[in-house]
Amino acid sequence: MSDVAPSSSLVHADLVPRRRASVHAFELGAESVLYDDVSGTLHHLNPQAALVWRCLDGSGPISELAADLAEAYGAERATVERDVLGLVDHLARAGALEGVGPSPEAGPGDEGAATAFLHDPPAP
Amino acid sequence: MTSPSGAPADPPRFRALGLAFTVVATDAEVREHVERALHAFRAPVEPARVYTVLDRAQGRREYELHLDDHHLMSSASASEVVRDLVRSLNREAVAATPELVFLHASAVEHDGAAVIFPASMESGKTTLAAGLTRAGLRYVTDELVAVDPRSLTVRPYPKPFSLDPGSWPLFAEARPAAPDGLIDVQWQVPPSAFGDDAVAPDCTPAVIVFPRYQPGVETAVRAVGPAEALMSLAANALNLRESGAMGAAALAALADRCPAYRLDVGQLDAACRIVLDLLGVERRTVAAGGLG
Repeated sequence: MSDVAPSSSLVHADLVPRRRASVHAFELGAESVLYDDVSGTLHHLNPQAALVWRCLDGSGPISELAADLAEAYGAERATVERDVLGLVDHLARAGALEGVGPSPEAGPGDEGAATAFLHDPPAP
Repeated sequence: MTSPSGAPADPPRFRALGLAFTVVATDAEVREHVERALHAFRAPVEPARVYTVLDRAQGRREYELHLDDHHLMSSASASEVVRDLVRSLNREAVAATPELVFLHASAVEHDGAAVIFPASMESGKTTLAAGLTRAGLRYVTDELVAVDPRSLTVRPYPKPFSLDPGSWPLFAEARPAAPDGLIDVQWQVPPSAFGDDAVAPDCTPAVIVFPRYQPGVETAVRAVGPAEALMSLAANALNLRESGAMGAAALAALADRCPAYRLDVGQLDAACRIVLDLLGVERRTVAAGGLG
């Protein structure tokens, strides 16, 4: 169990997040834009958030992902884990992840509306 | 709806993207004005939809606009009726062409390359398109940019320029030759007002410019990244939900391929010069003036 507090009741460090199949990622330069085919919403990810998104393949918990990123970037693990939890929380609330957060049909935002969030990156 | 008395037996036929339609008007002046305004849509098609404009002379106090058997609106102002007819056309053209992705945008073309101006209402996109058409570029649309998601080509939708009163002083030479009652709310200016070859063919998006009219500001442009451009394109997409992943992929491809800019517009001539520079087009005379 991680010693980092979860950012919300939706996500915690032991969660194994997986991208929802209905969410398409368009990589544009270093950034990405996610498009949810079901809800019709879009999400703008900065380069760091885009990197984390690509890692959300259901293969490991957030704590493990944060540890890997912290090692790769030479950053403090607790800081990275806090940032990843925050991003995953946003993604979960947007309905972009399997098994956590609202279903896309009941997702937030207006149908077809473009919404954006930019996240603080894991400290490099 | 049965053909009303006073209407011609063989009204003109039009095609706006996937919408084949005709307009039946009992008032001769309304009929001539609408036919001139929609001239770029003339096509030898079998109309699937019928717009009918009934004049006030036949026991009615107001003009009436119908689409097939549906009453759309009534007004004592013929200009309002024509304005709403054009607005209805915009909606029906989108509905009749579900295979295309639509942006709320104007666009002009030069040598097969299109510059697209996605923006909300009151952003000056019609005025900008009119200014650039007058400057020698060809007209694609002032309201609906129709993108084929497979080929990424733009299909022209050359509706009349719908010019609001604030823009009239900038385009006095294009004032429609119609009675005041037909043009006192909004001018419907056919693209031919700016030249015989003013309408673009199918074209390829080359530049994306997000205009924002701000009275009194210095006209200025700045580049935006592709992800920001995609978010702004999506915000101006009319049928993204219906287009699904293919539509989103098409917009992403446009954002990836086309350089994108935000343009703060204070003066029409300055804005036109900037766009001509972005397209690499030799400047022609652009009338001076602010955007209305």
